[in-house]
Amino acid sequence: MSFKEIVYKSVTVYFILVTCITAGIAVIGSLLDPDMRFGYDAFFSPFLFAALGIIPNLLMYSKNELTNKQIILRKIIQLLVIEAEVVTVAVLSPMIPTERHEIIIGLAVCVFVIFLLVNFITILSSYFSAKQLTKELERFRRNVG
Amino acid sequence: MEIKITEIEKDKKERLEIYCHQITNEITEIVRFVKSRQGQLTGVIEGTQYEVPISDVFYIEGVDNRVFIYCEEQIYETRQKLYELEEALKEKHFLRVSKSVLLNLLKIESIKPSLNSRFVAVLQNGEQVIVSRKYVPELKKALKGESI
Repeated sequence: MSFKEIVYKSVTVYFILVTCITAGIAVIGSLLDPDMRFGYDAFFSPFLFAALGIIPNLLMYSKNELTNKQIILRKIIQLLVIEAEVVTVAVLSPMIPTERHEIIIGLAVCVFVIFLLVNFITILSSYFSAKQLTKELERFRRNVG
Repeated sequence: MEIKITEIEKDKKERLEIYCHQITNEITEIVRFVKSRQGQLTGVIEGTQYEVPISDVFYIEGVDNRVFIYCEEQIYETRQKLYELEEALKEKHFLRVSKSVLLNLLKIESIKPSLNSRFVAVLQNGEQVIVSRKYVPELKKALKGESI
């Protein structure tokens, strides 16, 4: 992927991430700390976490076309970097009670689920695009033939 | 080299004649170009030259400064450059789908999604060719019949 493509893709993924993180915070929070109350500033955290989650997208940058194996390897590294980022920010943040191990585990699981979800949404979008392209291809063949 | 073009009547057969002192690389290049415009490519297998009809070509790939023509079963090597073929085969429904591949759109059976927002073109002989994300807009335009 070229740098321009990375930037274009990152913008799309950023907004998917914001949505998924908001849902993730709601689910994990209501399960692990249902009595917790936040101020309006809490609305900014999905944007911040999404921004952190988007930086490792740069790992997908390559001047040459990546093979499927290279893509999978880079995706794994990307997930590990995001996990490390989010856990570090959570530990440094006074608002998140990371002294409770289940909170850290919950966060890590949440990051993993969101990572899978974002990739699933991207693949789903590609699937529909491919289906559309195949339809256009059939129309093209009919017109040419 | 002097170039002379004479317009002839419709009922007469068009022809191109080259008068040269020696058949140089330049001359063979011109011949190859004219042939490719006429619907044929010159391919080589183990030193033997073949005329390959463009309609039989599935895709053309550049690998380490060498260019190969892939048909249903045979693979020919050609001395033409990929960019020359791209230019010559524009009107024949060939499209560049990655840095090194020119694909015959009429030989695609279906298109599947692949990793990293790329697509895979499944060809009529079952072979699969990667369509880079960069070339997807051109593919969409070509399928819609828009000029690229």
